[in-house]
Amino acid sequence: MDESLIKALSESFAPTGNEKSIYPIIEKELKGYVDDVRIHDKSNSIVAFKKGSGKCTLMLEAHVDEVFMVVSSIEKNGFVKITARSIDSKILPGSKVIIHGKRKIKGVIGIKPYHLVKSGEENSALSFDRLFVDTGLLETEVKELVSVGDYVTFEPQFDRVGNYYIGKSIDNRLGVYALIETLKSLKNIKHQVNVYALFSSQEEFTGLGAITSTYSIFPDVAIAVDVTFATQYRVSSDDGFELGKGPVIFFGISVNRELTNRLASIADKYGIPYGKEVSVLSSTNADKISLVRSSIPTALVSIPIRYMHTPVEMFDPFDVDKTVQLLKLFIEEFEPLGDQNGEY
Amino acid sequence: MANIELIKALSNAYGVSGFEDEVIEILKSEIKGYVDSFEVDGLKNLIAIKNLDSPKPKVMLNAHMDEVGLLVKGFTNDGFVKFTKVGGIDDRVLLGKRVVIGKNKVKGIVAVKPIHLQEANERKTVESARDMVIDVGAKSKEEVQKIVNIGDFIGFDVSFESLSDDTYIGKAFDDRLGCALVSEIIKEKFNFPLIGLFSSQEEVGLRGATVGAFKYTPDISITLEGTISADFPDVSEHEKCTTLGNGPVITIKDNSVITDHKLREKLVKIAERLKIPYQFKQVFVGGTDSSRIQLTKSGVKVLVVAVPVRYIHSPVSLFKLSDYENTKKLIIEFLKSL
Amino acid sequence: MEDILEKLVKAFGPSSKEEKVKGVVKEELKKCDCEINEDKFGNLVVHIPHDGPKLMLASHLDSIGFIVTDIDKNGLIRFTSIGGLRATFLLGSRVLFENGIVGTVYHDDKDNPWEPKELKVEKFFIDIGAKSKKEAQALINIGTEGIFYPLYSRNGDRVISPSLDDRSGCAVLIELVKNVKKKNLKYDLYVVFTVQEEIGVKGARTSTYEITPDFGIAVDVTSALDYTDPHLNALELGKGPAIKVMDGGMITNIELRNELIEVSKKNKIPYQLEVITGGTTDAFAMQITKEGVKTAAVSIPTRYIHTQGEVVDLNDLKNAVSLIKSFIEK
Repeated sequence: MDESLIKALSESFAPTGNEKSIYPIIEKELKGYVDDVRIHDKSNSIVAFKKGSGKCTLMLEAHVDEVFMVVSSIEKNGFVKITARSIDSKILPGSKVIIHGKRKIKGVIGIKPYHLVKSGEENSALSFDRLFVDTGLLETEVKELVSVGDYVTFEPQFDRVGNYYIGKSIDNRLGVYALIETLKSLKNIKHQVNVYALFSSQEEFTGLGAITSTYSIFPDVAIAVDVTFATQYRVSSDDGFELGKGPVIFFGISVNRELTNRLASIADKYGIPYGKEVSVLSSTNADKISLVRSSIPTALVSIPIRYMHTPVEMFDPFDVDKTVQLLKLFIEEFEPLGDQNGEY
Repeated sequence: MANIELIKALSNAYGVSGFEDEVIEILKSEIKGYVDSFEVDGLKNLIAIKNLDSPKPKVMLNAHMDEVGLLVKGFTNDGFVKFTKVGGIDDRVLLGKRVVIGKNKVKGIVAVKPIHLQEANERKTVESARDMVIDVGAKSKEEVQKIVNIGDFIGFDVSFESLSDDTYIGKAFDDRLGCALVSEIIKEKFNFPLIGLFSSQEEVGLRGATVGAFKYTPDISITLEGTISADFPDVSEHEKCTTLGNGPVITIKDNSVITDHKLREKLVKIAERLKIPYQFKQVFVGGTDSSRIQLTKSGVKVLVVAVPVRYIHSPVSLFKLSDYENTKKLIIEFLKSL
Repeated sequence: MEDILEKLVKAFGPSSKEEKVKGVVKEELKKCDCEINEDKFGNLVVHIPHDGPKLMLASHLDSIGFIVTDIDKNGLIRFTSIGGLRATFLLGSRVLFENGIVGTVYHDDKDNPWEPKELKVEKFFIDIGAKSKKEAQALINIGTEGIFYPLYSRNGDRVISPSLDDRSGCAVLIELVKNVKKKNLKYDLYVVFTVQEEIGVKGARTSTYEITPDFGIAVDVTSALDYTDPHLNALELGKGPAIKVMDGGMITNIELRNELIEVSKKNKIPYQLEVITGGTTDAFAMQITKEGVKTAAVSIPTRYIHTQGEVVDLNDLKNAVSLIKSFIEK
């Protein structure tokens, strides 16, 4: 695994709705490996294209955005109140964040000193409207630099912890990394299928990038790459997959079973270990991509991670490498599904 | 007269959301020769078309092929099957029921603790489906893994039967009755373009219908459903929704759509003129494919008409043939008037 | 502006029955130099052709409402909601049905007639003064639609009325169309008065598909929680239209939003920034249609949304007109 690339991806800022600062990294990495890279203007997603020898098109997709918080108001004395979607407010007290105002401003999410906490208050979670960011700046300075609506992200700190790595936005920079590395690995490989790689915006909210870019591209088949839950503290194997046992292939209802079975066959053929995830919907872009226009046969590959949606998401590089290997081999051996009349 | 054999075949066929193949085969052989062509799309919608070159406004008849069921999620160390629910199923209908698993129809039952061994408080509640297991008679995890796969569908093992000459029981009348209606009606001669959308994955979010009207987009669409009839004890007067025997149910509004006023008025006028009994759906709940078809491209005018069915989304449901007949008659007369 | 708003608010138009409101819009715009048509779905589309990228402005005609589900044996009307009717705010409300019949809302809690335990629409009924089921059935049918009785009042700059969501937006767009300087336009302008927003932003989806604009701006209301101390959110009546950053359904396009902010600053139009976590508007549907549309939203801060007494400040409406006008003209 290219540690420096994952680190660069993890530490860049691409909150939902403002993903563009990560695009130069992606463009730079793909230079020389693909035939085209362009921005999908209407949704601010980025699409790469590598030509194959045949007619069929396959779209790999990974969302490029990270979970985010937003400034909802600026209080007296310059304390900044925030709101968020899909972030557990319980992880915030005592953490460091970055406010993306006119410049990046470091802040701390404070909490009452323990000495002053009353006996009934202990252990009750503080909701967002009771949290605030302390920048150490005067109210006038804060109002100069920060507006309602500015993004607030976790502070980046990519690191190795034992056998694994931790960092922010591992959801879904692992997916972004997997797409980049898969394209790179195809450099001198002859493949029939034409490959699109969609690095999509706003998955953590509306799926805008996936829905609209897929509408433009309208591939024959699609494979979404995202993360899923790993077994961890308070998550058993009923709901999670062990780290280090390979990628997870989704066997649910929203994806195309034939395409999924093919993916699993390739994994079996080349001895790539994998898990099987079952639920009706996946809660990823795969659910949405499959419903574009008159429908697109879609599959989903996920990399298990612990502590999802926190600054310390944890993963095993083995799982990432195996995901890339699986995607590369799948593309190399891909043949069209069904026949030309759309009889599946 | 209603084709009871068709309804029976459709009801007995397995078609848990995402696995509608058996139902597709029955429908294809039923309508072959009566339509110009049919195709199955990437989401397993079956789309039949007729008279597409006619310049008149296009009409769609829609019914969903899928039924609620379960999905194999994993195995316990002692050889039982863990599952997840597909579609809205009340946990309380599952205990002690017979099921079949996968293409090979492996038989199983939903395990239940004998009453003798239950504590007093255990008798009062039903556990969550998450904690239930299915017993396929295997002795070990290795053994069950040989015959059941993760991701296999699980359907209720229930056979179609008649209780009297007007009353029938079986599974999946929501919406195999709609499928039977569409296939019977689509065989009639019409001079306008007719599209039959037998949709997939309705029970898991109206997914088939979200894409099913994109390729051949109608001007008007009629969704034919099997709808809630709660006309039995334990339900308060204004929650009964519809009454068995009172004829086709016309939806004014549900959680997903308000049906087209003008088309609905026309439908009612025809029913009154021809003295076909009809009723309105009086609990405005539920969501139907019509809401997705309605929003396809620049919009479609939609109607929802249903056969009242008791106990939908449970293993055994019940309907009256006279309601089915009257629904068929009403729709055919409505189409003739267009 | 006040007169237009009053006429709009008093027109009957719950989701799917917007004809009367369309009538008011058409009447107000009959002298404008533009094409007015109703599209396939029933949206009212005003087109002012011009060179430039296609811009679609949208406000919705429909209001939330009531719909009859049953008439009980005492002639009392059972109902359910059209859109987001808030049960907590219905008791004692006055309802106006499409045929002019008026009723009042009460509850059926037998054990607590003065302080009902469950505030749910299923526990409520409407009394139209009928003495029996038969009498009621002669006046009302299953499926008859109703709205909050439109009591409109004005106190200086502030208006109290139901349906300010989104007749305020409609008033803004009517005023805009009447005053736009056609030859200065930077866009090929579509002003769409949408239907069925309250039950799923439906009209916006189909009209956006049909028009396929490059840019979109929705004009709707947003919740001002400025009536307590301290305020519960950052939006205040009278401090200008709100330029939406994010709501419960979507994030607006950054470039378009920043342009609206620049235009406001340049023309000294007061504005606020909107970050809320609940609710959404036609902008959600516009943004995600087909290949995507760069979409923003300008919102009128409104108190007590979805009650019989919503409150707006007319200055916010006037400034919304100025803002959008400055944005679309050279």
